[in-house]
Amino acid sequence: MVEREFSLAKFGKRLGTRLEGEKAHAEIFSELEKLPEGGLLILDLEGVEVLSGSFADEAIGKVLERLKRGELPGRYLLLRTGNLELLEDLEAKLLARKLGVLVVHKKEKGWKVLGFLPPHLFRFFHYVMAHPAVTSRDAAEDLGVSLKTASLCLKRLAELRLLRAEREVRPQGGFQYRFLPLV
Amino acid sequence: MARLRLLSVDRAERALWSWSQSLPRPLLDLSGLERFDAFGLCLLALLGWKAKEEGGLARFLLPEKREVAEELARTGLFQFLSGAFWADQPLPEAQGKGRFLLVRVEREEGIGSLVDAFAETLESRFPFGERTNRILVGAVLELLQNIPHHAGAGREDLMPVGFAALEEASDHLHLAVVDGGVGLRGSLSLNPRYRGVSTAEALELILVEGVSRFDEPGRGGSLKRIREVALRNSGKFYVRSLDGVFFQEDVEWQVGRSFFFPGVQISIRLPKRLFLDGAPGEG
Repeated sequence: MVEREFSLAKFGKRLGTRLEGEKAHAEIFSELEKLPEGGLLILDLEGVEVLSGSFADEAIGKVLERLKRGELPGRYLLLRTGNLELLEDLEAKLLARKLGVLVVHKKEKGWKVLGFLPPHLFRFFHYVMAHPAVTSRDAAEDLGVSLKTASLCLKRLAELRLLRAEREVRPQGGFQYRFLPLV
Repeated sequence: MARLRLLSVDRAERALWSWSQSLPRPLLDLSGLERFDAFGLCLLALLGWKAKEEGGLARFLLPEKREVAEELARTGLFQFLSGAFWADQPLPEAQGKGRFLLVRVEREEGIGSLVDAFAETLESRFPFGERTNRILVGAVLELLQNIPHHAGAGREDLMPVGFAALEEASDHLHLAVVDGGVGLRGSLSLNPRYRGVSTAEALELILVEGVSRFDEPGRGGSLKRIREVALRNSGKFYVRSLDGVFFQEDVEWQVGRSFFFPGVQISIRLPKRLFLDGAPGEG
């Protein structure tokens, strides 16, 4: 998987206004466009001291909104920070937009979904994070749900760009998706 | 009007009414002034600016108490009104840095550098730590960009100008942000859904429910979040807009009516002990 890093500190230590957020949005989206299918863009917040809700909504919230609508299929975005407190205003905006994004904690080496993760998708998401590279059939068996339910929920998580979906040919014919964590 | 001794957020209504009646040539009688706060300072700046905009002149009777006059001069107020005010006596020398930081906001493009200056001053003069600075700078960022967004919302003829002041008082930090634009009701009523709401309803919708003139879910809500920060930190939050007033102290909030004055004027007071004892809560 191709990974690229993008430092938000290039826009300053204190981010900022909607106007600045619009510029950042254009640059972030352009970086995503350059990625091949399956690629991941890591937005690094090192060096950022303040991330206002307005900037965050324009620069990150609206990019996630476009990805959720289906633009740039197969491109993924995550945030990396050493200070989760920085993301409180972004979280409020994501909740308002019903969007979520994966955040990797730089120091504690953990992760969390910031913003909105639909309750019915919660256990599927955590299942894949704990069991990388599973199929819908694996999830259905392990979680005790129908294949259709597992398939729909995992596909939805991939549409929300919270999981990566890799299409593969089944030995017995046809194709299936394998679901992988972004980290 | 009796000589004004205290120009503060709790006591400014009467003075504001009197001065706003005499625009564009208000007589700002500060001769008896003993104390002023960030909100009072911002009102002086706004009235002076409005007088200038309307082709008049703000006339100042400067405080008789030397130290008060010096403190007023040190805020930089008279530099912002340069060439557009009259004072009854020469301005005192403004040496050193006072307990106020006053900035003028005009364009959204300039807000980044204003906020940087604000944050650097905050770090050097009020060393309360990264977390505190982040709360205050974040609030300033949102409030300052509301000036060009709200002040001139839908009005080509209004040049959005506003002022912000930070004050380090003995027991609290006081942040005030004011403009003389269309006001919160004026901004909200650009959305057809909220056309016809009263000022009191607009204040409640914006400050309590977090709605804005935009239907887009990610827009708006910043004033509500700032109110919640004040609430969680035992602060006081006051907003005056057009003919409405909103005040929050502890868990109680109330909306009232007052005389009409254009724009939005906001005061946030956060107890200093919170910053000195440890990290404040956030919204």
